[in-house]
Amino acid sequence: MNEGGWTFGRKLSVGFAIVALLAFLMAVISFVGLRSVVAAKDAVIVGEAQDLIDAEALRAAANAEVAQFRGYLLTQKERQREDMRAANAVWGEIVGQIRKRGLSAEGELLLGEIVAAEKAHQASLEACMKLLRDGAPRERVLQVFTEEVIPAYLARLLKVKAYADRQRSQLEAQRQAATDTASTASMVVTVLGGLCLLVAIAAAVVLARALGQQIGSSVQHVRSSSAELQAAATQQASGAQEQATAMNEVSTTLTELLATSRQIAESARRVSQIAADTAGGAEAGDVAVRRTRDSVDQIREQVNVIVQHMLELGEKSQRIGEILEIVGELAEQTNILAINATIEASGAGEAGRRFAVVGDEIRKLADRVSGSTKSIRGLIEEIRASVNTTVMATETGSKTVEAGRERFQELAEAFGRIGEQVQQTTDAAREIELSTRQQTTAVEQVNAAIANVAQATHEAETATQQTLQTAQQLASLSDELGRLVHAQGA
Amino acid sequence: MRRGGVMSPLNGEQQTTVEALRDAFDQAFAEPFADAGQQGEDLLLIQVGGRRCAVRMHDTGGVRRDVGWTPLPGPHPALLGLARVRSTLVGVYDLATLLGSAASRTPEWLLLTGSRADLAFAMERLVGHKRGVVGAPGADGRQWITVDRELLEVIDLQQLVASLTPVGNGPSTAPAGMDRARRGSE
Repeated sequence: MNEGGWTFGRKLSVGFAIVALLAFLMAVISFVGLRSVVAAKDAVIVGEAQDLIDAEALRAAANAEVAQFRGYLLTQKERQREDMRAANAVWGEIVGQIRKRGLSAEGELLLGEIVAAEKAHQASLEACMKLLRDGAPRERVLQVFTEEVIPAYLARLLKVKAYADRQRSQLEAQRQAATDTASTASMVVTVLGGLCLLVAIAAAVVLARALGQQIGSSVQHVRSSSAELQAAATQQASGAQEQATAMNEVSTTLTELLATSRQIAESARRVSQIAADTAGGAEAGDVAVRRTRDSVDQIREQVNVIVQHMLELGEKSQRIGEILEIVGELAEQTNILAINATIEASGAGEAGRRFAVVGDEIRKLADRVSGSTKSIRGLIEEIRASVNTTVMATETGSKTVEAGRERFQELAEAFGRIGEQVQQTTDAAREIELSTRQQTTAVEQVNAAIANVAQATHEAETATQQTLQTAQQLASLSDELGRLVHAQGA
Repeated sequence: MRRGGVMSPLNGEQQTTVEALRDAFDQAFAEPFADAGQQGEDLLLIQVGGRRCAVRMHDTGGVRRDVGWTPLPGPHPALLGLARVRSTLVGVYDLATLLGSAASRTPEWLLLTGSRADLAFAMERLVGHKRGVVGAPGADGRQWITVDRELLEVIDLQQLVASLTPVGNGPSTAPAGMDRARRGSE
């Protein structure tokens, strides 16, 4: 058995179990001894004393029967006779009770003798009463009474007295035996009590030593553990304080986050409102774009008309140029003709001088016509260039208008998409608003939870302080316990 | 003399131009005939070999434009061919080559000579007519005239024609032998 591995409670339990077992054993022995003493006393009181009482009762019943018989002899009344028989019946019942309780062989023998004496006495009584019923003379009756009944009665009394004496002596013997039994039981109980005391003292000593050693080492452990616990409690207290500070910061941050969430919710609501306004603006823009597209269509038609007119103007300018070419050709031919006329006139001498002047004037006119033709040609070229430029510009404008129309178409589609996206934006903003409100609620719940955590942290800090105090008390208790253990050990 | 009948409304500049033309035209009828020959010589301004120059009008016999000629191989490098002018065959010489310049790229004009009816010079363009005073001949015998602040050489056509006259064989016979020559664009 590994005693060193036993627990504190186990050792105490074993010690107390041993003591309790001894106490139980002593109690059982005491109970058995007491039961034996009680049984002996009961045997004395119930058995022997009852027998003695019954013996006395037998004697009283016998006396009563004889007394009733004497009364019958004197009075000869039937009632006396019945009383005598009743006394005899009581006597018989007492004998029955004695036999019922059981007797020793000697007692049974004595009781048989008593019964035989009673039968002899009863026979003498019957003979005497028969004489009375037969009317025998009084002297005969007295004689029979004196000679037979009285001796039988005395013999019967002697037997009963012998039985009673025997019972008295047996009662004394039983009383003495019971006293001896009680003395023996007292001795046994005393011895066992001493043994139990010795065993209890031994167990107490063993337990005190074992527990002292174990408690001493445990006290050391408790002392070191209490020191560690004190250090841990101190550290935990500082940690709890830091945690409380952090919880306060988190709470502050959550409060700011709550305000931010509310601002976001408000902004989301405003975004939703603005998106609704934007949707209205997009719809109005769509209508405006459609109107503008119709106007652009009209512009395109007008531009096509302008282009057509410009092309006609170009063609007519071309025709003017062609006619002007003829005019120019005529002017140049006129010029050549005038020069040749002048040459011919200059060769004609003095007579041709007048013709030379006319030719010179014709040449000048031709030169002027040629110059005007050149100017007109220049103007026509400018007109054609302008027409071409205008046509190109109008074509470019037409293309631009067409592109603008396509852009307007795209713009209308874009406005449609903007409307859809604005609707999506509105939905998203509403979802954001709803989510942000839920988030706000969640943040409020978190804030409340953080407050609870802060409260719990505060309580933990308080508990840590209490733990610290408890650790200090535990340390002092361990010191006191150590002193107690060492004092006990010493 | 004034003429009305304005077809379309004219702006101020055009109206001024029209008035100037009328005045000049009327002024021409107001001047006497004698004044015409007292202010210098009549000159034809021509373009030859990319440069402008002048010839005296009384040395010329007329100008023609777009008169085609039939190419004719010959010993003279300036001879281009034969042309028909007023049912007369004339020899066409490149004036630029004769003047020592590069050959004319597009000679469209013919300058007829006054002294020889069978000779013509091809030139690039007739610039115009000018009356002016020709300066005195220089050391090299060349004469110059200033027209519109441009100094132009006055070509002596008679000298040029004289340089083309073959010795012992007059130029009149050479073109005459080519009466049947095929004409250019005519």
